[in-house]
This record gives sequence, structure tokens and C-alpha cells, in this order.
Amino acid sequence: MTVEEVVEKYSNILFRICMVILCNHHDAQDALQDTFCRYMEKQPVFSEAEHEKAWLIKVATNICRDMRRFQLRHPKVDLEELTDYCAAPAQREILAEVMALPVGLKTVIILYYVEGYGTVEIADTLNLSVSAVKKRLQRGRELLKKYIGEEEVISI
Amino acid sequence: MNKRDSVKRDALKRDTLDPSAELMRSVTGAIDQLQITPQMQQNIIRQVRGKERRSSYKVRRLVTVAAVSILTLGIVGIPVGAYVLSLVNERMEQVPEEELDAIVQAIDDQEAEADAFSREYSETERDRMIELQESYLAGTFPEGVLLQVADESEAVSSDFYFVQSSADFHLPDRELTDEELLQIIDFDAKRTFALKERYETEFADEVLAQEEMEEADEATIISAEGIGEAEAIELAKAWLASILSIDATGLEITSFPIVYDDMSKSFYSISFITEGSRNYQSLFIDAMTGDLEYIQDRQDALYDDPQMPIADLADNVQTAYEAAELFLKERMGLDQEYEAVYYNYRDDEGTVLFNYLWVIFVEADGSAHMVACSLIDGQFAEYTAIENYDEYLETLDDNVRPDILENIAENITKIK
Repeated sequence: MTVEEVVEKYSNILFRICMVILCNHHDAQDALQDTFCRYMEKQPVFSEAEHEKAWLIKVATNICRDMRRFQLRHPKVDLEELTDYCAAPAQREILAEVMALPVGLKTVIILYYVEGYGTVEIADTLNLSVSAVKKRLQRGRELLKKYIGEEEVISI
Repeated sequence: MNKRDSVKRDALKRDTLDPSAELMRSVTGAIDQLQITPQMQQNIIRQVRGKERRSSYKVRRLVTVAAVSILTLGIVGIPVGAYVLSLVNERMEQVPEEELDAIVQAIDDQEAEADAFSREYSETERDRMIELQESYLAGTFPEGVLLQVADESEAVSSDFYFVQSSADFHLPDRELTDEELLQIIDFDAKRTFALKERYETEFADEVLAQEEMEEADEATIISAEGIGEAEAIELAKAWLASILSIDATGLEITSFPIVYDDMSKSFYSISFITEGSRNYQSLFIDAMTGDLEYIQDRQDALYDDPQMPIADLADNVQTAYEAAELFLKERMGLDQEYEAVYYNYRDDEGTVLFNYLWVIFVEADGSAHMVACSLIDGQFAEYTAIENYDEYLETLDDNVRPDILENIAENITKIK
């Protein structure tokens, strides 16, 4: 695949993941660049498109994790920046709360609920046990419920 | 509906029995709003085409220079430190693979992104920590190991332990002993080593490819009648001595060549790292002429000094400006009139980033000298030789992140 094709096909999903993990679009763009650079350097061959997508997600999440691990300061969620993506204030608040979750939890949440991966696939992609994935999903849900609460959900 | 959408629908359907189902639908809807813009896609395509080599440099260098971190000083977050493990490496090599694997697994499983401490270190603990870090690098190791528990629910009788899930250091109310401080240092060194090992194992082919690429780059430079890496290092040592009065003897040196894809520019990046501290100096040496392009003197205080509020900037500009001018006169031998002088700073949430003031001295022929000094005490930080100031400003568009560029543009002031 050419750079244009792979960016066109996968940049949206990877952007969502990187944005949620890194909390700002500049870092997310850097992570995407590194991910696609690695793809172009390796030119991996896959029998199914899903495997290709999983490979890219795996690389992108690893890059995000390393970026966060070595960041001097922790990224803060900029609500103003989120207005570029979300018109509704309530949705911005929800996004901010998702972004504020620990990386391990929000990565699993986005893959499960937004990208539609099953727990087994997530476990494989993130090198976790299935029980760890389930535990993170549960913990993520609990935290979101605690921080967002019913009121904001209804107001959307 | 494809398979993935079907799974996604099922995930939400399963949750209809769960009271948090509505919440998760809201979360999904909110995250779905995050869509990449066509402009960002184009930027990525352009960057991937043109700069893929530099980005892989970034990842590799990030990991190889990160070592014992300032976590041990109680500062949350893992910085790119310049702390050498050369003497500690022998000890690390003895750590069983199983223990290293367990360390990495614990880091991967932890929910926190950075360490936390149950209390701040006392002043005396901080001082002793610095001394003990030096002792550690010289071979003084703890007799025991830091007690670790999986999570808070694990009952422990000790008042000094580390919680893996939350990355929390529980420090006792009393003063930490030397042995306990050494255990923290040792624990941190093992984590750094384990992460580096994992990186080199997982990306072994990339590490090898990078080394081969560096060798090829040096060969390219030499075939274009440039200088070799060894010669560049000697030149860098001479610059280090003449500009910063630092003798490179005993300093750890890392170096690598960088050649632009279009061959318009090539240079060597050379860093001198002081064992037992976070101090280091980095230089860029022009690979064709041997000229100094850039020198940076990074000192511990950078991480420790609080950043000055922007409101205090005006009162301190003169200190940094005079220091920058003096640096050019006394260290670079440049004593002349300039066509224009600007200063610039980076706004970091209402404070001055690193307390640096960059002063740009533009000569009549368009070339410039950019010097960064501390607004607090005028301490020299960076020097950059600029071939043509106007062209330099244009190249920033391609090389600097838009938000930083905007920050620079907003905060540039002409002095004369």
C-alpha cells in the first residue's frame, strides 16, 4: 500500500486511539507519523485487512505508551481543543473524562466500545490476559460512571 | 454491516443489561466525534515521506539516553534524563531475566502513568539521595530490595514499600535510611534497564538497521569530502573546552551522523554526559566544515528551579540579554554591532519555559547567533549558529510543531 492509501484507510481509527491516549492532537499526529513510518519501513504483508489494522493499532499504542512514559509532564486535557471535534459541551466533558482515565483503562475502553474489538482480540493486541482486559473494562466503566455520572449522560 | 460493526453493536447490546450501558453509549458517541482532519492527513503523508528516518531516530535516542530518572528525587514523570549506567550495567546484567520480565509486566499492568509518593522527600533526604546516586554508580549497592506489593489490598507490615498497580511509593513518616534510599535508586535503575532491554529485544531489527544507516551516513559524508565521526568528536571536545571550559575526559560520549535526505545538510550530533548527574552537553558539528552549529549546556537546575511567571519576565530580560551578549564576546570572540537584536521566550501555561530567554543577534549579512540564557541568573544554556535568519524563520514552518511555532511568533520582541 502507498503512504496515501494506508493513511487514508487507517488514520481515523489510529487518530482516535492516539488522541484519547495522548490528549492533544499534536502528540497524536507525532504518534501517527511514527506509526506510519514504521509501517512504510517494514511493509508488512498480511493475509487479512483485520490483521493489518491490528498490527497498526498495536504499534500505535506502543508508541503512545512510550511517548507518555518519557514525557516530562503529563498531558492535560484541553477542553478548548476539544471544541474542534465536539460541538456539544456535554460530549466534550465526557471526552475529557475518558482522556483523564489511566492509559491502560482508556485504551481497552476505546478498542472495545468504539472500535468493536472483542476481549480476546484486545488481549492479543495489547499483550494482556483476557481476564486483565475484562478487569480493565470493568474498572474503566466504574471510573467513568463515578466521574461522569448519570446527569451528564442524560443531558446529551 | 461488517464483522467489526457487528461486534461493536454486540458489545453495546450486551451492556443493555448493565446499568452503565447508557453511559457507555454516550462515551462511544463522544469518542466517535474525534475525526482526523484532511489537513492533518496531508501533513502526516508529507512527514512520513520526508522524515521517516528522523522519527525513528527520535524513538531510539529517547530510549537509549533515558536512564536513572529523577523519579528518585520525587518528581513525578519520567524525563529524558542523561544519567549513565555504565558502572551499574554490570550489576544489571546479573539480574535474572525472569525478574526483568516481571518488572516490565508490572509497568505494563500498572494503571498509573507515573510514580507517586506518599509524602515529599525531606531536604536532607534529597541531599543524601544525590550523594547516594553517585555512590551507587561507583558500586555501593543496597543489601536488600525494595518491598513491592501488587495493590493496596495486600497487607504489609512494613512502612516502606512500593505498590505496583498504582506506582505508589509508600514512604515512612521517619527519615529514610541510606539503605532505603539505595533500594529506591536500585529499583529505578532496574526498571530503566528492563525497559531498555525490552526495547532492544522488541525492535532488534530496527536497532541494527539504525546502526547500519549511521555507518552508511558517515560513508556518504566522507565520500562528499566531509569529516569522519571520530574527527567530529575531537572537534566537539575542543569546542567544549573553549566555550564551556569543560574537559571531556571521563565523560560518556554518544554520537551519530544526520544527513538530510536531499543532502542539503549533514552534521554530527555529539553529546557528553556526566556520570552521576543529569548534566550533559550536546553539540552539532557541521559534517562538511567542522564548524559548530549548536551547543547546549544542560544542568540539573533546569529540572529543579520553578518556572518564572510571565509577569516577572520584563524585570529579568536585561539579566539574560547581557549574559547572552557577554557569551558572544567572551566565549565566541564576537564583539560587534548587530543589525537587529530580538528576544524570544516560550510561554508554558503562564510561566517561562525553562526560564530561558533566547536572544537573537542578526548580522548585516543576514547570519545570526541565537543564545539562550537563564532569566534567573544569566546562566548560559544554548547557542545556535544561523546561516541566514530570514531563511531560518521560513524553515521553522516545516520543522517546528504549529503550536510551538505560534508560541514563538507571539513572544518574539525586537530589542534594536
